[in-house]
Amino acid sequence: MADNPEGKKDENEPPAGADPITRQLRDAYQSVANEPLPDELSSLLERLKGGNG
Amino acid sequence: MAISDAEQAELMENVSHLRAFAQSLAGDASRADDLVQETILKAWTSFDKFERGTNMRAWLFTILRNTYFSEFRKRRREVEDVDGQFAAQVVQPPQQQGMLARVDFEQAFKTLPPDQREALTLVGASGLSYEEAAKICDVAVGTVKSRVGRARERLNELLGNSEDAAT
Repeated sequence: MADNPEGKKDENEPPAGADPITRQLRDAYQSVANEPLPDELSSLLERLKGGNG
Repeated sequence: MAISDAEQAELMENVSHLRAFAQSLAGDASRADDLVQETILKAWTSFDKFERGTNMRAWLFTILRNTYFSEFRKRRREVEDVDGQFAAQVVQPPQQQGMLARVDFEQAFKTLPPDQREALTLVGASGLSYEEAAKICDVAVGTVKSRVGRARERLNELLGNSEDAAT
């Protein structure tokens, strides 16, 4: 977490180490983020890039 | 207003994060991708509103979030006459906690209220600070911390994690 540079423990804040919730949350997030983009979204991005150039 | 090549590249790099954030809110891949498309179009056509030097991911997440909750409120109003069943379906925690002790993380995550899902995703996975998350959600930093705390507590309950394991 970027807001705790001093490593101060906050009652609601996950520890720096990967506890089960944080680990699973990040895994789930990354699994979606790493998926290939669907064709429709890829097409949109290509159109926008083409139109901007 | 034209977007520079660097800004364009940064926006494209954030698409994967937008998808992950959208899915954490919408809980459905197809709907999430619709949200991402809408967000990208809005960002592209109103890029002059982006304050250069600030966090583009946070700006994009704000657009996506506003789009999602605007739609969420609209849909909730549409079904209010049906005893608020839609809202209940979205925000009500599961009744049978025992049965949920073994469900996987993603299923448990989906049972959280939207405000807790987004707070946990923003600060726990997307790389944003509590301050940035608070700005995106338009709430106080303490509110974000409280939501994250409640979300983690609830997930630990649902997943059967002991306090020792979770802290």
